[in-house]
Amino acid sequence: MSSIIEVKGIHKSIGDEMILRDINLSVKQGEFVSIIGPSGSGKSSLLYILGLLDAPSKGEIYIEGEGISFSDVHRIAMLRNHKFGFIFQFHYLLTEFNLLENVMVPMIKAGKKRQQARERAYLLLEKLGLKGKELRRPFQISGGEQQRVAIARALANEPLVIIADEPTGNLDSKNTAIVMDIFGALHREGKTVIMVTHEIALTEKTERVVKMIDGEILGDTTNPTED
Amino acid sequence: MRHILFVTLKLLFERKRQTLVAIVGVSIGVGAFIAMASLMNGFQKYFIEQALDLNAHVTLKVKDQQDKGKIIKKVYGEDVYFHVHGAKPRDLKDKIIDYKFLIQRYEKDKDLIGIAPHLTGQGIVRYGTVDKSASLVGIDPVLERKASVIDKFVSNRRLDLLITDRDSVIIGKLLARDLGIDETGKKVLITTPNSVTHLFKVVDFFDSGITMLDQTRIYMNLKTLQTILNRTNEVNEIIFKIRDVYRAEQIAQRINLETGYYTEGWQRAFRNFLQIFKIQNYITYMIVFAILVVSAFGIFNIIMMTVLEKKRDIAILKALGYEDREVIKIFVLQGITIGFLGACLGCILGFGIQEFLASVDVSVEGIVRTKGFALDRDPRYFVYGVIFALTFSVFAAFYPSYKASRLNPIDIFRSSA
Repeated sequence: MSSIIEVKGIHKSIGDEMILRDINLSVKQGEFVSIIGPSGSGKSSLLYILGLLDAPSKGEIYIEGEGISFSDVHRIAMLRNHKFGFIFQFHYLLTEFNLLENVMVPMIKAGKKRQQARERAYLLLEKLGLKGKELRRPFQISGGEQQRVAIARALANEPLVIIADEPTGNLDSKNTAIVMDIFGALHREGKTVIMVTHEIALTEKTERVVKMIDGEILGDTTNPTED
Repeated sequence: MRHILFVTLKLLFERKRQTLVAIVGVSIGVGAFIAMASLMNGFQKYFIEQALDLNAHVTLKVKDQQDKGKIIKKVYGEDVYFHVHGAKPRDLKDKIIDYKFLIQRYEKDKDLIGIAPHLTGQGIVRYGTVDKSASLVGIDPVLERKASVIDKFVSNRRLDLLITDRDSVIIGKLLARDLGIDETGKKVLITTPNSVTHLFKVVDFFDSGITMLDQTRIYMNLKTLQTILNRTNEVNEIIFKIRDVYRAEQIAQRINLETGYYTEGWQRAFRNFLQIFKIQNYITYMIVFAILVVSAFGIFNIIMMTVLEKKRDIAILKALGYEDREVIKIFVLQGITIGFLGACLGCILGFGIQEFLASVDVSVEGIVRTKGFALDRDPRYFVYGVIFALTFSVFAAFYPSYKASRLNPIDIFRSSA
């Protein structure tokens, strides 16, 4: 299978501090990759670069085989909108918008018609078990539900890759299990998921585990326990 | 653009209270501008109209125009610097020589509509035991009608009585009030500086609305005033009504060159008032500018607050594919929306204030007297108000919007984590 994201010789420094050193990584279509490492190991920094949220200090990035230039801000924004779905530790839902509208935002940005976006948002929220709560505001639902809305928003434009940064970091075990089940289901549907976590237990549900320490990849293994 | 509007309107109208405060701020600014502009300009236009209607567009009179350095210049040349101390005024006779010839000469001038002679003088008017000083103006009613719109200001339209009854006067409304005269037919005594006292009948009142004139002026037949001032066949002023009032100074200069008499246009005659109006306008526009600046700060404040509060939202919007320029548009559009709605509301408010002021039944007495406020309801004030509000709003919104666009989403995600 071909690589959908590939980074070569990535370095990242903030001030004098080098936080990523010579990272080479290739993610194939349909893979479920977890990046694990202790705090400060550079796993989130790598994820932001993979999701085109941050530019590396040095190195090359390829999305579906095409090189990326961060000076082309319009293309970067288009790729973020069309190719990536982001999920963070905090849900980052817009409080002025109801759940439906939150899911609609990336679709409207992508140029979908309002009615079309609304129908898909209803569908996604239903799929994630939020039927009947579409018109509620983010503060009117639980933390687990908020994260599911964030997942629905990430899926809105049928992205190439789901980028998840500690998506269960703020959730209890029950909601963590629900979110991981959703990721598992997405993976089975053929979606590519790259997830950063520091919980080893969660990596057992992923197909591939990338271990990072001090800004370097120390291990890249295929998980034997993955179904 | 739809995606920008989608976020903008939601952010704006879900924060109803803040948005409303900003809109009200702008609307007060715009409303105040419209009301003050129409009030101030209305008053000024009213004054100018009245003054122009009543007074001459161009006045010709006897005045010392002697060049005090004429002899020195002749002896030492034009390039010598000199200063003349203690030059005594020439003994000028306050009369226009051969005024009838002058009137005939300018009667057919294509720039002029009317021309009329005046004899002016001072006098004391007495009614019962009350004495008041007065400015006496002797007129030829037939010519006066052509050179001014005096009829408009004569309460009972009895100007012709000055022709049929030579011992009649038309007296300023405020002067009549001060003397205690409240109806026509009353007899007054007028004493001139040459100690002639003559009995006159008040046949009408003169109400121009300009306090200064209504408080002092008395009109009578030119012949009568010539007789009591002992100045048979003399006049000391000729007034001209011209076609284009804004060419008054130019025409005055021409007549001056042609006749050698001192002439002045209405702009020069009323320069003190026009100067006051200029200052008044500066003050008005400064106040309105200050109101608009305060409301612009309101917009600035609200958008800046939104940007500070919405850092996370801005970060996620960027992650979702919104570009920096689109983030700027989202917040600038909020400013423009506030400005536009504020301007619309301000126009309604301004119109409401105008309506209210127009309905107020109050006698205003100052430089001019009016029943109610003299308003200039020029629709351009509304257009200017909207333009000012939108300009201020864009300026006020731009900096916070720019700040928002510069936010790095990574910094927000890291700090939230």
